[in-house]
Amino acid sequence: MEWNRNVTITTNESCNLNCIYCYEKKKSNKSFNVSNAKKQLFSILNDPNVGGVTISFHGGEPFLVFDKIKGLCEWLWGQQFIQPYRCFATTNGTLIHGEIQRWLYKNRDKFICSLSLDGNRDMHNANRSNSFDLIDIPFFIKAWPHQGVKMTISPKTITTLAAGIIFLHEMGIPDIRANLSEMTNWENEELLNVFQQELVKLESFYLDHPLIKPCSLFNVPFFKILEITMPQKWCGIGEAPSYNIDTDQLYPCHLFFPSVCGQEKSKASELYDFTNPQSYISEECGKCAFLRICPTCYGANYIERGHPALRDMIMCKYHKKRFAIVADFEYKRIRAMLENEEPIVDNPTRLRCYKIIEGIKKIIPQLNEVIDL
Amino acid sequence: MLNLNSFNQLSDQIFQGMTYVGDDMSKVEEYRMDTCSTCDGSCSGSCDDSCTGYCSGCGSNG
Repeated sequence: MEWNRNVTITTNESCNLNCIYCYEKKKSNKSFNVSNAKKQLFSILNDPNVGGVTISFHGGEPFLVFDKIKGLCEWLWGQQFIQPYRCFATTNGTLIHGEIQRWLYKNRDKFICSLSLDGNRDMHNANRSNSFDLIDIPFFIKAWPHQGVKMTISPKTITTLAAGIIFLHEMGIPDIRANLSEMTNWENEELLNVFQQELVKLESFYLDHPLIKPCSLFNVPFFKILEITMPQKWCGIGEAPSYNIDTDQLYPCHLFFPSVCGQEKSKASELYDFTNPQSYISEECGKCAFLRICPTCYGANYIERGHPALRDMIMCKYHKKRFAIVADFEYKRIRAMLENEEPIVDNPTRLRCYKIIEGIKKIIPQLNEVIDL
Repeated sequence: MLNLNSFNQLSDQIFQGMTYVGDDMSKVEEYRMDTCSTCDGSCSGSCDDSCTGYCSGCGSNG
């Protein structure tokens, strides 16, 4: 199944939290029109050319307008459409109790939630308006056991990064998608040193606990270094365009919505053709040995620096540190796996490991310039 | 300091166990990384079997 269309319903522009890194500066009491949403979804889901559709409920905090979401979903589930679809929402979790929780659990196969959870209590509270104790974390693990959490790291929480991630592992979170917050000033060199120290702690933890799936910070696609084709985009920007139900327009992703980047910038983004590498690779990054493994948020680049290809070169230093530590981790992890002759060392695993090591080999000189492990 | 010789040795060790590609190094490139069949492309392309079909890790904040 190819899910090649995202339909984003901007449910509301209000939120009960005020997270320190929030990119949605425009808050209001406005919420979506259910009748209008039904009409537009009916048309999209019956279009034979669209393909699988992901319907994303995007706030603010979407569950502030739970009644509207419930009304729309129950109408959807009572219809027959040509195209398959799925419903998804990212939530801060604070409202997922009582009736909302019961409804979500009953419909957990049709409606997937991703929880934003920024580490342990102190970390989460520092970033996300003291909301840790308002979240029923076990409910999320029970309802969507494979979904995991989205963890955003800020300068306020980076000093306890390792402890926060280990805390989430100990809670039984199966998948931790962690990233440094975008549109944030990371210039302080001390933070860079702290990041390195925290990653080294995590490396030790993961080597001591080989059965735990490492957080996404330790998932560097070194195998891509071996590719000889044009470097791919880091995300699906432009490929599964986001349709905004308010404006009746398609955008490269939700960060290009007028409600996020402003009317003028949103309109100007029509100029970018994301099938053209010049839209997402700058001249400087094009010469970088790490380009194929370097994460970026094109929307944040556009908002902050006026062009999707213009990455935050301060974050570059953080990424490089991470690549070097993860390269060292991969070497030690794979060596231990082979030495222990673990039963999982089958052909696909060997191939995966082989490509990782071969990819790292090609950038060892550049990695050794970054860090002396 | 990452040591190229150590990586070379490890690479050889892994390769020797790949019974179905024998000694033909070029064949290794024919096998693509496993990717999830429901991947929507919005992840880094490094998804695995635990993927539920929707990637929430787009990299933006929150």
